[in-house]
Amino acid sequence: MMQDALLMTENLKTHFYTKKGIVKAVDGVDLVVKKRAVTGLVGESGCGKSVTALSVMGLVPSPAGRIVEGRILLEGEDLTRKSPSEMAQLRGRDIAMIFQEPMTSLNPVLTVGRQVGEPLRLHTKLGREEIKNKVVEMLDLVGIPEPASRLGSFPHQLSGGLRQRVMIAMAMICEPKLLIADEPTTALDVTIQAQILELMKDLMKRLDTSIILITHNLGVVAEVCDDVYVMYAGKVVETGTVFDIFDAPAHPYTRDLLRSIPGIGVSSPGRKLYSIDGTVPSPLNPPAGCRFAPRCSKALPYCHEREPEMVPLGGSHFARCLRASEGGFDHD
Amino acid sequence: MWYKKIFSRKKASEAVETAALVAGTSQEAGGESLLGDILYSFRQNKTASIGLCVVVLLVFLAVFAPLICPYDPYEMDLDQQFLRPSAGHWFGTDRFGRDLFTRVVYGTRISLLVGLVPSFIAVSLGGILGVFSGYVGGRTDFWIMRLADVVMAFPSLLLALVVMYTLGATLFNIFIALSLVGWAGAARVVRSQVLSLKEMEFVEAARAIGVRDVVIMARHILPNCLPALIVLFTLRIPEAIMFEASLSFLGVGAQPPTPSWGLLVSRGKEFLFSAPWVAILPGVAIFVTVLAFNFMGDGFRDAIDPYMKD
Repeated sequence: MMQDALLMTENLKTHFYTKKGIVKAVDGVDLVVKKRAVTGLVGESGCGKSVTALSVMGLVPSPAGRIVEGRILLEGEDLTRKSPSEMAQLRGRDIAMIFQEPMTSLNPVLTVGRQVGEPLRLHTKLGREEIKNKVVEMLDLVGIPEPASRLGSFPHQLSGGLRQRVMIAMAMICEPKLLIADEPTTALDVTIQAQILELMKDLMKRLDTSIILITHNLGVVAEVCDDVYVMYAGKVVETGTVFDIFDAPAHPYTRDLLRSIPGIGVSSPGRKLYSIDGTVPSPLNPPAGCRFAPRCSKALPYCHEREPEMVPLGGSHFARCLRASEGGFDHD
Repeated sequence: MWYKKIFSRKKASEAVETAALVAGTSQEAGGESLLGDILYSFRQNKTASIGLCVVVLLVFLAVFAPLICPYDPYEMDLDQQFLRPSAGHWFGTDRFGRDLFTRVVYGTRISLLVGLVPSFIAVSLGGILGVFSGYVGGRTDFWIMRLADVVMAFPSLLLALVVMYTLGATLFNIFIALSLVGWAGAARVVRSQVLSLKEMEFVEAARAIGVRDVVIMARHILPNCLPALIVLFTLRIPEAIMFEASLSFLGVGAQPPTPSWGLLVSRGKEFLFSAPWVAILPGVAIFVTVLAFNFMGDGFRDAIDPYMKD
């Protein structure tokens, strides 16, 4: 089980030191990313999913942010112990990342060919011609029509979907072991979303890569993820296979998230879409006890006092809920 | 709206980069049309076009001065002192009988040189310091910006005078003086752009593929500041020309018999009542040149970035 883990974080804590106090953006996260699998990281804005990704990349904005505790093991090597230059070597070669906004994540003044070839220039000793050939090959692989003629194009000459493909080509050109995709489809329209997700899954198989997919879109999770981590206020509140999470959600937060998805035919016209009351607690002083308790419809008095541990629910399914061990709630 | 501004700046930078690359690489239709946009909007601007024509004329005069002028700018002829402007001597002659038109035309060379070289140095220096300051931030940023504040707070003519007095009045030292007083404004503008640029996702994307900070500054941030730098450069030129004229007028710039316009005005002012053309015509040359460069610079700014106007 542990042998096929590519990346593991153990009790990862990334804190931000602000003028108002310490923001515990990531507060003890344990992740296991398996080889050749898509691991989803789900949660509301500000729950710490992006900071988790940045921690793995070694790109936590300093000096305000810092990894204060825990280990990040990539194939057994602890990334938190690496020097900045060692991390720079690693980025783009072993770990790559794609971002939410294809409009802003490409440099407007550099050609597509240059940007896609940049990781090769940085991390390999290939010559100009070889790099060019590899770039064309990669652009072809991500489904850009007439790749050779696109080398000299600037990002503004491409559509949003094409730009995201270029981003993926740039991230994947060194065939990294791990690809972190931070909301890669949020800015795209629905038909393109599906294509991009399909492309990522396809590349994962071909290039032997693992993917961490950060999203708040549960539809995307259901479609592509193998394992899911649901995060809330800096902590993982539930984890399991995609089937565990969708078929037998154990944490009230996960259930509420699933109920908040608008579905066709599920809700009748005029019925209000379900939404979770309240807002994410301030990360400066999270509530005592379970962090979700103030918004939880199932909370009992002791939920506000005791901090829950991860409760095993069979297989790789865990939930951080005091009541999860009661054998689930009544479905209502 | 800030995001609109960022977007528009991006467009402008694309345009400039495209303009720079269009000569070398084969571009697609999209790239050419952007360059076309700039040229079109420049042509639409009448004052800018006039400015450009005058500038082209000045460059022509400067380059072909020996072919255009029938006289030698340094040769004295004491029989021909203070001749009025005529067909033989378009601008008349000065107190040593030198042809004033010839001297003004040769002066174009000095003015253009002084306009271009130190402006280029000042804007490059300011650009590099600005990028560095904005990107690195913290203490570095603080000290570079305080230095810029000092330079800007100090009357620049006075600063230039001090430099010229200490280093000596030569053309080369004018370059140094003008570069020293000119970088601060450019550094400030560029720094403010970098502050927003460095938060853009493509910078993070560059980091995510392992690009080092120095390379990010040079290859990713600096090119995005090019439109601002180009505008700063063109608008710096007339200022520099005025500066040199002022320094030469005050006697710490070019030294006689160099036909610098400022110097011509300075020497001519003694005869303002007996032979007014000796001072006035070089003065007109300064006026026309500075105005032309300003027209051109403004037009260039508006054409490159239509959103900079407001």
